[in-house]
Amino acid sequence: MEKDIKDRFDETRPFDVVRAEDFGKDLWEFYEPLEELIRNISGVDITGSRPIFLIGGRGTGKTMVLKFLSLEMQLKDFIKNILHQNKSIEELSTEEMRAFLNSKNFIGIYLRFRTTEYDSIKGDIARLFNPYLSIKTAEQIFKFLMILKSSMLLSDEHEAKIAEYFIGQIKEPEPRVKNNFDGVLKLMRENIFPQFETIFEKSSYCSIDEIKKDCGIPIIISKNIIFGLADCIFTEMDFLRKKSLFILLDELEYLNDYQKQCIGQLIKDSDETSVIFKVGSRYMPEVLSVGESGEVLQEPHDFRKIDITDALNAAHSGRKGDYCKLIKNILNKRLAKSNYLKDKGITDIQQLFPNITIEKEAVELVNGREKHWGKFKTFLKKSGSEKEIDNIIDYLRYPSNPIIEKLNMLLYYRGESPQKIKEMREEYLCGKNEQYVHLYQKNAFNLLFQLYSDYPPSKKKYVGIDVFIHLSSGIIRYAVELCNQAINTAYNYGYEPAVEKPVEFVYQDMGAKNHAELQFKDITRIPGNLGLDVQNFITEIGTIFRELHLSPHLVEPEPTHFETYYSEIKDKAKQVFDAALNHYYLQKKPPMEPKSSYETKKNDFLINRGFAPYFEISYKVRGRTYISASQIYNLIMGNDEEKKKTRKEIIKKNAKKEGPEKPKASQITLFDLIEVNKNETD
Amino acid sequence: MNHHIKNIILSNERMKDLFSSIMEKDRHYWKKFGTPDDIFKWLNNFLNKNEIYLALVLADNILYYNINEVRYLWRLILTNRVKRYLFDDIFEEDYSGKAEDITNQFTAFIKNKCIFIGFGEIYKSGPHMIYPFHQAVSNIIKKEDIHFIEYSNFLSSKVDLSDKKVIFLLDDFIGTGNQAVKQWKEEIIVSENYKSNQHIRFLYTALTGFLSGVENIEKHTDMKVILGESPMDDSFRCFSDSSLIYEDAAEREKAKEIMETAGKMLYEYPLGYENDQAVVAFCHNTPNNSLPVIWKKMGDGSWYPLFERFE
Repeated sequence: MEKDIKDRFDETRPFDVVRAEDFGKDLWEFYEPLEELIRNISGVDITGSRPIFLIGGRGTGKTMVLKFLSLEMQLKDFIKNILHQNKSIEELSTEEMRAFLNSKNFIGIYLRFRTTEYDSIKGDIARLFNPYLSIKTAEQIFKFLMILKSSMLLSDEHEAKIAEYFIGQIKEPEPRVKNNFDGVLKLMRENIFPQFETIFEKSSYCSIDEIKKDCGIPIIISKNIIFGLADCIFTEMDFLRKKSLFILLDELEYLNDYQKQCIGQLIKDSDETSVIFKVGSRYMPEVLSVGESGEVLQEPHDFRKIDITDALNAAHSGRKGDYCKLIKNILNKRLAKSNYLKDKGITDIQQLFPNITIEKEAVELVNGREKHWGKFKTFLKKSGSEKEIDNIIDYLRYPSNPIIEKLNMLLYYRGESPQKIKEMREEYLCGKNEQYVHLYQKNAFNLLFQLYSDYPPSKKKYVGIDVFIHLSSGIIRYAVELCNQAINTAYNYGYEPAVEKPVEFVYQDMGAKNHAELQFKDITRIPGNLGLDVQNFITEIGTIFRELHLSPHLVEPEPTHFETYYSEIKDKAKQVFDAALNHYYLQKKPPMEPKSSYETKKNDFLINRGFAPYFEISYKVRGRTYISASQIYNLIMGNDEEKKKTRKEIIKKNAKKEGPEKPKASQITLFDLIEVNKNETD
Repeated sequence: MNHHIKNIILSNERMKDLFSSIMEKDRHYWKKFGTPDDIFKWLNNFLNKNEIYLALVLADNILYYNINEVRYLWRLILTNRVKRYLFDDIFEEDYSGKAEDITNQFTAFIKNKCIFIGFGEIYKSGPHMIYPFHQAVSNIIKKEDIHFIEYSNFLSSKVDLSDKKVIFLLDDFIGTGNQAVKQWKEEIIVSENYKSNQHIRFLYTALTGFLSGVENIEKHTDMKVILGESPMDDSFRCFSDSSLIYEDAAEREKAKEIMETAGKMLYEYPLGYENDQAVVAFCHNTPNNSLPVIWKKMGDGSWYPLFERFE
């Protein structure tokens, strides 16, 4: 029995519930449709006529998508958003049901595999998987037929025919059942399922012969019952013609190899039938065999794959605006459900977590202090008098934006005269100096990180809803969890929501950092004894990026992704690397163009941006860093000494620009950095 | 005031973690404060950052039992701990081995053979256990089937106990056990009801307590002690050498100095009744065995409690 979300929804903490399963039958009320966005980004239509594998880690929203496609959720959505009524599915009139069916090209039934019964169908009884899945599917189909019946759309003759067809498919022993839907469901619940359950239970301690002796031969179900039943229904009833039956199978990763082969066979057999499989899985099986035939399913001929995280990851897709809008809509829906916050006048997520500009953040950090001039003054003292130093600083000073001051210092290091810098800055402020504009845009964020390093122990703040959305790294649940962490932290310190009273930045930041730490700890939970190795590898990569962020040479501002030749990663290192990818701690990124024409394309990977607060690095996708496959091997498999050596090697190579031309100034090479990489995105 | 405490907490990572942990405990288990105001007020008793840090460690280690936990423990005591102990009494003649027999016989045994007494005078914590005890077992045994008598009545007036077998004495916490031993010797065994009903067994039931207190009672009285929780050893005493509250010796020493100095202003036993050094509190009250810095409220506003004790 599914629980009511109202039992779990705490109105003061509207972001507390995150798992699709926890929404129960009220999921549709919180659902923000992803299908269109996914279609726009990936080019694949989930509701199209092709079998789909919807791939995504925990919290990416795949269960939400699949559940929302189920008939029950679609009907609830229809009642609320099309009919604008507040009644139950059973209360739909014939005409309303007809209108619903006319508006859809599919009927969806949802089944998930993370249940103990599927796990126990192995060994001697492995072959019962297919009939068991068939009968579970049939049960859902009959539930859908009961809904049609309740709206009087289905005649007694239809009912009898369909029930007879189903009963006809069941052999040994000949069932004695009334030929109506109630009779069929009763047969399933009182006869067929208990038989299966007894067999599953006994299989753990009895041989198959003993089971046969004690339980008799189980009812045999025609393997084609799914297709046959669908065919019978969809041809029998005019109003269902040309529609498809979506069988929405969730959590494929819990099935064993044989069971996955069965799914492969079903997908193959579904070709040219009205049944279309939509399968959700945490990761795509490397090979999807068609039963025991030796044949394998191939994309795009047999199915289409959608990696939901890739599709939603704004940086990957370049549709940042769409992703931000989606997340904000999801969060605002939660707010709309909270009378507590509504009564306080809070209806928009930005009221709770307003954004802060990096300029404002810099001003708040500096707070009238002069520490960021310290190193610069020391540098000037080598060659100038106090008075000259004061003069120079007067030209470079711009207290209303310390980031500009940092940039001016770098320009001075580069050899520009103080007068020229002041002139450029003034032009920039009028929107005229493109070179300065570009330098500012490209480096401002990393200069802020460096500004923080001038003011220890202050640390970069991760605040504002837009930053949270960045940190979610394409994983919807992360965004909700970040908001939850932030508001919970604020409540811990006595926060009372009100209009014009957002969550203070300090608590937003603590929330983001807590979340990052929890995610980091969570890495160890990866199954297969790989968790610790993956965590260590992520630490190595994060440490490298952090070091590069603080490099005064700033060859690539905000390094957060790396490129490598993936196919060259070998042995256990590959296993660890793949585990990091499968669990989205590393994320794939479309490869950038090689820096020179003789280079081949490499594979680009992004450290999950949720870790940014943990490593104190940028959450944007900037600054690629090359790491060779052998270096990756060392970072994963090496001993502490080898790892340290490899880290240093990578940092040394990437922290300074290579090439014959030496910078004129002794420290900073900012003008050398104007190579704009057009593939870079925020 | 709150701002000052907040800033101190926010200035230190360890303090932030401790404070988060306390607030999470409150949210999920204690369900007492809801907002941090009372915690800030309590922290404000302490003089500086170091003291506040040590106070946070203390607060994070307090064993607080909310009403649901108290009820749960009473249910556990009656249906598990006591049932196991009294198994032979319940089935003195015949036991078929059927589960329903246990339930039925046990209910009949409680109804016909047992008397329940809130241990101590009316102003003590024992009698306050009667209400949550009732609530806890209401779906197992009907209210009218549980026979309560007041402790003072047991001591002073004649009660017909001839057909009874067990007297339950209900309490919340066992510290040294000295008080129970004293009452046993000076009040119970001199009472007429005790003298004329020597066949009756006494079960001293409490939610939790120290192992040494349990041993003391069982050694010096004829009472069998049954606790809801496992008895606490010295690691649950705030400043013992094996303390799990302040595990670091130097930190423990410093904390003891601070809590003892403050405690001297608050109660005649600065580290809890008979130096028990407990850190236990219940929803209905806090035992005086716990550190007075946790529970004492000074009328002049010079000390604000975290889990106030009501005398």
